[in-house]
Amino acid sequence: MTPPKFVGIENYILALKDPLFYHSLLITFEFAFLSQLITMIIGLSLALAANSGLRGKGIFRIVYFLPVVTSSVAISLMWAYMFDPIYGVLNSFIKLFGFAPQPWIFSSKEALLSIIVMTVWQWAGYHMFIFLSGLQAIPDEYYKAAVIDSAGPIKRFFKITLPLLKPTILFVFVLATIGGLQIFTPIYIMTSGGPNYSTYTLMYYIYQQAFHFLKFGYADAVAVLFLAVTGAIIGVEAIWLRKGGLTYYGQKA
Amino acid sequence: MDRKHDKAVKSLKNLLLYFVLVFVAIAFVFPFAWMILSSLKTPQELLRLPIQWFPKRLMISNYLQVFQYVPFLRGLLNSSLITFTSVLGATLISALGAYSLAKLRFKGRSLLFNIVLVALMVPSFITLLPLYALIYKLGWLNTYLALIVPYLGSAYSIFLLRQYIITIPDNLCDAGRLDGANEFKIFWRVILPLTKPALVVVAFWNFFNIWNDFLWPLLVLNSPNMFTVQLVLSGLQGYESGVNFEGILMAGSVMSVLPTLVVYLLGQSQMKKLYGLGGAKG
Repeated sequence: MTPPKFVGIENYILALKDPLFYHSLLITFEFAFLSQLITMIIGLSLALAANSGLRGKGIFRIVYFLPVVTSSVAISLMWAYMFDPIYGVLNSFIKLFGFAPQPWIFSSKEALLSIIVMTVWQWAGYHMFIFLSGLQAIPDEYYKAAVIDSAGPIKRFFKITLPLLKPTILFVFVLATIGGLQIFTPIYIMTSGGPNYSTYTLMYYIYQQAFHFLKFGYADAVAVLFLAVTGAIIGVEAIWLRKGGLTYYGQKA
Repeated sequence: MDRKHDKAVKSLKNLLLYFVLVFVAIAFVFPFAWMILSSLKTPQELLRLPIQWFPKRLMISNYLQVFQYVPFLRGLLNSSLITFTSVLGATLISALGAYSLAKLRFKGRSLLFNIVLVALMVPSFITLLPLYALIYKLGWLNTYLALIVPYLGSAYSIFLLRQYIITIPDNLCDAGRLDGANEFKIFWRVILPLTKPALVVVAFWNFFNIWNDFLWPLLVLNSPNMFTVQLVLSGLQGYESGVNFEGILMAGSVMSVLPTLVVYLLGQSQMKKLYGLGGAKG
């Protein structure tokens, strides 16, 4: 490290002039939004399925949580191998169903999507557990009353489950967005930001600027800009969910 | 007749649910199973097409070769030392902080608690570079200190424990005070035993986070004999890129994952409480 020199807002201006910064920002949000949306939908579905008084649901919970406690390095290595276009097991699977083999992380079109698939697999169990504890906090009486009023399962879900689960959904959504925006390890291990910058997320951008090009101050300025955008997005998310973004199914909750 | 119909519908529904849950469970376990199977194959078996699902003989030597390529044992020992010390320290320090925030009355308490709440929400990418600069100034790069001290302050742990300790009735502490116990004694003899379930959850949480961390060790370590197991494993990837090397790479992955899986499965009954605490916020 060289001794720091005060440069005013020069680093910020440089960052705002760099097309790669905007590209990274876009990719990062695309990744965070898509991966967390799918993870939440799957997590909620699994929680609903596992909350329905089935026998032996404990074993499912244990299994679904396994990837959550596993290191991202090991997960990235095993998925990188599964994604191999020639010897990978995923292409063997889809060939069984008559699909053409895919290039996965080796094409700029599919790389980000492949990492989203892996991330959903990694975090769905965690979301399921949080939703499950939210579901178990809903008193049974509400459902019993609804059954007496002959409300069907779909109506019960939208009128009871979803409104009462709103705080949990907000909590998971904010937490997941912060988590998703910080994706780094899979990018480092699997794609190094490529091919052709298609997975060049902001964390990777910051890492490269600071530790490869040794532009520490510049990297820090990017991190601050990133924080500003993140804060804004999370604020909007919170307002959106509070103001009834979840009430599109009809009446306000 | 109607009741019979209902029962049939219900068992059909359950069957369908089981089918979905089992299908998803297979999807969750498969990558792990594939990792273990691949770690036991010969290079020739890995390169066979169409894919050979099971190894003919178990290639245990893949596991031994990991140790020849990279200082894997050293990585395991480093990770164990760092994780053990940090988990113990973080849990104890968080408990002390949580007790003060929950039970002691002093000026600036709510300000301190608000700082903890803010720290909870600040994404780690914003603190990463300043923290690195601090460690650099202290001359701690490439030392165990760089990998233990930053883990000791955990806003999440303090928050969880504070929420738990605040539910313990005040008169238990007051009884201790009447008996002439000082604050530390009350903390140690009264609060800590009652906080055990939350302490266990916090310890597990920290264990997984610290053992699995990759980015922080990557930044502060550059001499291979200090590497954590995650860094050693990522270094193993750099040796060869061919599929014939996957046997050794997967063997390394299995060995790096094994400690967390064992801790997770042993701690199952305690872990259940973790989910409750995670969702109780909202």
